[in-house]
Amino acid sequence: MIRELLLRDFRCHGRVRLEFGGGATVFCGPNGAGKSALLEAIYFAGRLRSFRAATPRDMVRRGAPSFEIGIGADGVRLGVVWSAGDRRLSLNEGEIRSAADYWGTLPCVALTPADVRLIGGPAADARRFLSALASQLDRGALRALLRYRRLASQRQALLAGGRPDRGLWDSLTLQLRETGAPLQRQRRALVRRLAVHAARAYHEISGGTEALSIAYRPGSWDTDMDDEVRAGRTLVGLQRDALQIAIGGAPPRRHASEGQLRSAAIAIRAAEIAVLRAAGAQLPVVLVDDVFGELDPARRAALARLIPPEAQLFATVADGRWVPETLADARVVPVPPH
Amino acid sequence: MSDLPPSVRRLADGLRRLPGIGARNAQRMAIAVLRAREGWPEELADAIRAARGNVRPCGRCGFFAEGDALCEICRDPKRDGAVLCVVETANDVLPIERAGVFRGRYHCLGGKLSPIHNVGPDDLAIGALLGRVRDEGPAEVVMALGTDVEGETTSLYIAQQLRSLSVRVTRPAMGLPMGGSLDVADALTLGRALQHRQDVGA
Ligand SMILES: [Zn+2]
Repeated sequence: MIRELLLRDFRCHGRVRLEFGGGATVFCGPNGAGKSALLEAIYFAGRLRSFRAATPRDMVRRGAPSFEIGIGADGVRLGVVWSAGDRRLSLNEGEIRSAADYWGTLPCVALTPADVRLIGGPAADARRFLSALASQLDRGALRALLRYRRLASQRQALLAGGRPDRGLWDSLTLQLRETGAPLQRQRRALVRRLAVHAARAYHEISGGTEALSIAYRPGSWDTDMDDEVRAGRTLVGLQRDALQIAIGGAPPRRHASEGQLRSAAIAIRAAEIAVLRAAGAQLPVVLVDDVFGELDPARRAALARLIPPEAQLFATVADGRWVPETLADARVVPVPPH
Repeated sequence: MSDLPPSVRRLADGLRRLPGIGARNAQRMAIAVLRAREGWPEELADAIRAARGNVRPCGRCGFFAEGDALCEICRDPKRDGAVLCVVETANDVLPIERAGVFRGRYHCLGGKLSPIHNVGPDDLAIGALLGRVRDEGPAEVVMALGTDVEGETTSLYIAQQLRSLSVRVTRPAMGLPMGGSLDVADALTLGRALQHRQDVGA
């Protein structure tokens, strides 16, 4: 559980120090006041990236050279200092060199309006979601993924360089498959668990009769060097993985309504939390950014029910009336405009 | 605040370029050199000059050798010519020698395959290795490269190139951490790893 959040020069915040108890905290304020940035900072300390489409450079306060995030949680202190070209991570005041040793210390799940991209958006978004979830569950999977990415970049450099050496292409392809195939087996099992939870959550939140189904389509390993040289990039493996999502048996891209997409996005995030919870690992911190406001009261209440009561929740709302009734004892922190 | 004279600062700056030497240590070393009663600093300067002038890669294996001669390992008749150990750089020979298990000869590649850094097969002593295997006819080639992506890629590539030459290609097994470089492994781990070699690409 997060007890303390310290920020320096993060987004619009100069210096901030906030303390939290257990339960839910709701940051309430107008747009642009920096309430989402507070959630973003927590997420960044956990996952080393933003839940918005933003680079770390975008998160440095205007005119400042760097930003700093400090988190005091039960039994652990996390620190991130980011400046252009340099990122320093620390755990309990000790410097951490490799992101693989840091990642997973503060598991978090964010629900944002952009989550609809998991369903109707580019396949790369769904792949990133899957990679992050697999890595939160298992540090070994994270290490394997980092190795896989290194192999993929080496292969990319080889393909981009024109006529690649056949033997070198073979060596890299063999390793890519050796590293990637076990990751795909793991993801297949993971999506199976995720799909069960997501179907249940979708039913809860939509109250409807149609079903949400999710299936994993692993990228093939059949490949030909000449095809890849022509394409100038890798055409196999995890880069070709896809999540096949259907609402009421139909692909949602064309057939689903805005409300269905939004419900499905929430269901997938709820399933993410459930999978992490079932894995018996640390319960994730749940960050709900600007989502309550775009739901009707029934779905707002359903979402509040889907979040495990023992999980620490941080939410943002522009209007205090959007806080679900089930979170009546939430601590509401006003975030005034700057 | 006054500083040391420029010539001492120059000496300290030079010492600081040595691995593991920080600013404070470099300054202390420079002052020790100045205070020396005997002529050891002059001898040290001579030794540095001589080493830099005489030492070059061995014409056969690439390890450190003096003058035009082959290195000590290549000249040692007691070394086992039936096993050839391939390493990335001459530095990597030292931890293996310290482990004291390996009695064969070496071949230093001068790097690892890495398309990202524009290092291809022609940039490394891979052709020379194939020539040695043909000429010297070892029964086994041990690929003792790091287990990072680049080391593994180089091992696989060379194993493939050697396939037609009917030589057994192995690699050290057990104990080497995946993703680690040879440099950080301790002698015990490395010694054990060399006793349990495995085929590459099998
Ligand atoms: Zn030699």
